[in-house]
Amino acid sequence: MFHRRLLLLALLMFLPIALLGAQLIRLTVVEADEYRAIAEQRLDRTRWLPTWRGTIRDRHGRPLAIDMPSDDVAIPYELISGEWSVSQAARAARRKSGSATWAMLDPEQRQASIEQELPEYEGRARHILSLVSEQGELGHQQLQQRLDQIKQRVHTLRTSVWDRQRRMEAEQFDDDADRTWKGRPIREQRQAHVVLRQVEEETAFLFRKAASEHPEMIEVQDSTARVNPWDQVDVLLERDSFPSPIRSDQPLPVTVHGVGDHLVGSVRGQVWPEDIQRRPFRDPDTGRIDLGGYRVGNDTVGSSGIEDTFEDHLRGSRGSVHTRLDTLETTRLEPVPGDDLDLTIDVSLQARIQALLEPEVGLAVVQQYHRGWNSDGSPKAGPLPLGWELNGAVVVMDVESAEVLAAVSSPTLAHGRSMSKARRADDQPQLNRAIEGVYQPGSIVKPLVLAAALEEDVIAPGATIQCNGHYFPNTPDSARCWIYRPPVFATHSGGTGKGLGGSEAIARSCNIYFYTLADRLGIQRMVDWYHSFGLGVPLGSGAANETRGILPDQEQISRLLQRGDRFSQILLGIGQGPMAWSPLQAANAYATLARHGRIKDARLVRDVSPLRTGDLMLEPAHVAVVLEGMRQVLSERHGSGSSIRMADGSREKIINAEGIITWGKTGTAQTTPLRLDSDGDGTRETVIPDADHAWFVGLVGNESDRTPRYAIAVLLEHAGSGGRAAGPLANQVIRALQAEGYLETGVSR
Amino acid sequence: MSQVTMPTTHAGTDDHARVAITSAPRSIERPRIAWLNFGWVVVVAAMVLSIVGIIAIGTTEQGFATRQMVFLPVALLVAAGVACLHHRSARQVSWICYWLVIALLVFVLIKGVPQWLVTPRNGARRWISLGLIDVQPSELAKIAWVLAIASWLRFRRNHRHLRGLLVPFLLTLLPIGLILLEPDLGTAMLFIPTLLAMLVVAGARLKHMMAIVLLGLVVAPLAYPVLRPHQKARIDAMVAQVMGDDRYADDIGFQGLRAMTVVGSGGVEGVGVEHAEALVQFNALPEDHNDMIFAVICCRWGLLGGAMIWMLFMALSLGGLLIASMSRDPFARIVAVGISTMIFLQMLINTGMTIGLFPITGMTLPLVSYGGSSLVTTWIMIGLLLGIALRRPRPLTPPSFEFDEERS
Repeated sequence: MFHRRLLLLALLMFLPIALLGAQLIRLTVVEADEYRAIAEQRLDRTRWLPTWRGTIRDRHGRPLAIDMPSDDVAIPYELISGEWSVSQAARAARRKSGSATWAMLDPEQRQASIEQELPEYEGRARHILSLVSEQGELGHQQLQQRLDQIKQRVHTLRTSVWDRQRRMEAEQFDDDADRTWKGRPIREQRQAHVVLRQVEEETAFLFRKAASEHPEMIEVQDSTARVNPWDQVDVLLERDSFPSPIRSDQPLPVTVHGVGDHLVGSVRGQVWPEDIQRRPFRDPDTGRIDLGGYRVGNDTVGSSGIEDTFEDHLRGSRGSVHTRLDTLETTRLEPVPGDDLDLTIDVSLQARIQALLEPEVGLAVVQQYHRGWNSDGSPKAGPLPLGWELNGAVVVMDVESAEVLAAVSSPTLAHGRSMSKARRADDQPQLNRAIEGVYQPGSIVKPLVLAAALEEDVIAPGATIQCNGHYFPNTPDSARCWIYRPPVFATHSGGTGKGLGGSEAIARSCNIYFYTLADRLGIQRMVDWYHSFGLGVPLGSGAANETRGILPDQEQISRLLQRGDRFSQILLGIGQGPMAWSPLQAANAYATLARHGRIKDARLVRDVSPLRTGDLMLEPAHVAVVLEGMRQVLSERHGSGSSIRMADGSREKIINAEGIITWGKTGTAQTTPLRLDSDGDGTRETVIPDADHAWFVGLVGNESDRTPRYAIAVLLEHAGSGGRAAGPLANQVIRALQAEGYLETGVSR
Repeated sequence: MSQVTMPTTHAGTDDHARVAITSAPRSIERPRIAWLNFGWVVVVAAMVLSIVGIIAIGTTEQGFATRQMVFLPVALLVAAGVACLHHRSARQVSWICYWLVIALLVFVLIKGVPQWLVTPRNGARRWISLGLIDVQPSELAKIAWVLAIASWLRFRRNHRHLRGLLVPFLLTLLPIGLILLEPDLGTAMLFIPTLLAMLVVAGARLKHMMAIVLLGLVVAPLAYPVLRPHQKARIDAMVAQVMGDDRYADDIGFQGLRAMTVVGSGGVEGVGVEHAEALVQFNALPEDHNDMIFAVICCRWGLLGGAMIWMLFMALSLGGLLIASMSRDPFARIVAVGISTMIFLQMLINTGMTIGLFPITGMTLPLVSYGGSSLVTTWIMIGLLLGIALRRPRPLTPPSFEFDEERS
């Protein structure tokens, strides 16, 4: 019996061995490759190397945004969250008592010995934080705010990470998740976070020293700073050709800040979840690494302007150092820097024009000559007070190449930084008015309407139209000409009884003429022609947030036609009604006209491929009629933009630059009332009606060959008269083009 | 009687026969040594395991291997000493040993004992520090308890009734309870199956044994709620791991998953010494030289290495059972079965947890894992087995535990 029992026991021993054997075969044969891969992976360590962004340059290769080596100061998260001193004290206490003894102590004893160590580590933490606030020139409160921001960010991140983990687990093990799931510290809680960005060299040295003494408390990390070498430029402005009230023989030195900032845009140092969503560093599904992708943490990401639009072009891709931990073999993949980007902008021209828009210069603040004087010599009133700083934009583009030489918006981002919150809400310094802003064009569309009408044959080049002051015979109070108003009720035909030809209609900016053309064209053809001139379509300039402008869509057109609302339809003929565009679109349309309809849309980035091509094939004879009108606007006495009448009744030519020839059109565009938040309470209670936008759009060339070379668009918001307010600014823009060598000066020196 | 003359069969002459006859009474008193026996199978298997252990430990850290190389001769000497003693002596001291060990088990639990003597590690009070070496009373308890149970059962037959099982179970539950208080779940788990094995070969009724096993299977899940949190978590982690779920991978299941990864990466033939070193080191396998040595072996020598370890242990344990079968002494029989089962079970639990079939408990792989205390204890067991194997049964000894002919 005993031996049978022994045999039974022996047999029983084989049973579990068989079970274990099966499991071992599963691990080492069936799943071996999987485990092997995981185990081998742990022998590899990869360190990612930072790359640098491509340089953004102007048309002459001058950098507008460039990565410079710099240093960031980072401190561990525990120090930020305030847990550092306690955890360090606990570690020290445990070290002192030995881990064996430590395990024996009851909680009170542990607490007591931790508290003994605490003052030492609290002191160290204070020391480092005060070093940071001192060197970073941060007040205690500012520093705390910065730390709180980091804490907040990590906390938010942790919440989302934990939520995702919990959700995934709930999906997998439906009911059990809440019981078994346990939140573990996320990586960001174990990392150091940057508290001082791009510190000076001496500061970096100081922190490097601190880091060598307390490597557990402070880190100096290599980084790059995005620098605009044109951040501060001194421009000397000659004022001897200014309108007489602000004229001076003394040149005015003007310092402009952040030249090109609106265009170039900015970068941020933090990766946002949407970046990772768009282009993850590690694909969450396949695990594939995209060296140009984004990962949580500090990284340079374009956040506005060209930096944002051309992010993928400028970004570059990381390098890596791959180390086999057992053999210490390393393979290094060099980072690939981002590609450079060439803009069409001439940064010195841009700086000059930006200087012209500075309030201290006087061209872009409300002046009495903007408002004019009554016949008895008394100054006229205006909607805005004298000296009011006017916001605006200037665009200069090359007619032939369609390259934009300057696109200036005022106020600049640099102005915005020193503005109060209410002021920022009113003035919108972040808006790049040249490209993003949409404004009713007013009379500046008239040359385009004439060109369209001539092309569509609704009027012959020599035909005339009578101006009776109002378009609809029986309603004298609507669709009036701009001079048909009390007390005189003047008309363009009143004195002579003659009708107006095309050129003269432009020169005098007769509304009735263009109502007539618009009525003959009909709204559909009007809208189509505006489309052809680049309104309501994207230009593809390469700039971020480029506007398409506003134009009635097909549905609105058919509604207007159905309603039989002729007035609303013909309003488009004088650039009012449901249409608006940006200064860039205005300059672009004029350049297209000057090219006789060859479509080549404005661009700010050299290598963007055009969205539109084609040719409107404008009849040269028709263009000649239009250009003649535009020449008269500026050069003939009856031209609406030829001169300004000063207080003493004398007339000053608006365009007084020599050696050049200009074609242009002024516009005084009615717009919605200006609303301001004058007491800074967040509501815009001050309403200023009748503050029209002042436009000047023109073409300029050398007198020697009489060819339009550059298209210029000048807009001053709510400045009133296009000729008187925007005109003198346009005159100085032309002089700036001369100063930069784009135009002949006419004076042989 | 034929037995009396048996030892003289080789005598060729009358002189010799006379001498033989005169020496006969002595040979009844002192059984002779049987040099050819299954004890050597056990010793060789144990020796190979010890050496493989040292080599495997060297894969993780040479320093540990060197120290183990010092421990091994000490263990062998102790084992040789034990083997020289007749198992009668062991029987005679078995109760003293049992109660002494119980006293030591109580001693380590006394809170007032100075720390230099009883040093808690990881919250467990298992070790008595004696300067040069640390003694684990629970290790000694394994031996003393086997001896005590064997002493108790050797001439009894009442364990064939349920009431008769009471004392052996009480004798077992006492050390189990004390060891659980340390706490040391792994060691405590060895006792009941070993007791069952000893009872089975001692002739206890199989239906009683089955009933106890079934009862245990029913009661064990009920015990789950009273387990300590970390023990529950380990069981949860193990269940999850077997189900192919790695959610414990970063905390409680870390050790288990790392061990499985290292085992699996060894494949069939293993990765060789250098690569195994790297894999073990950079996979940060915890307790690699100690509880997790089987993972290191599987990594270095693959499935073949693991199978070889099992075969050696099977040889060791089956050898132990064969020793029991050759012996006629009831005490020796039970001791041999108890020791064989104990070593086998410990191997089973350790390798099982390494490959992810059992929850992680602090349990060494006997003979192979690093640790002097464990090595010496196991070699004492081997010494006991060899001692039993060396002693030929006394001529007049009737075979024990043969209850077949009885009618119950």
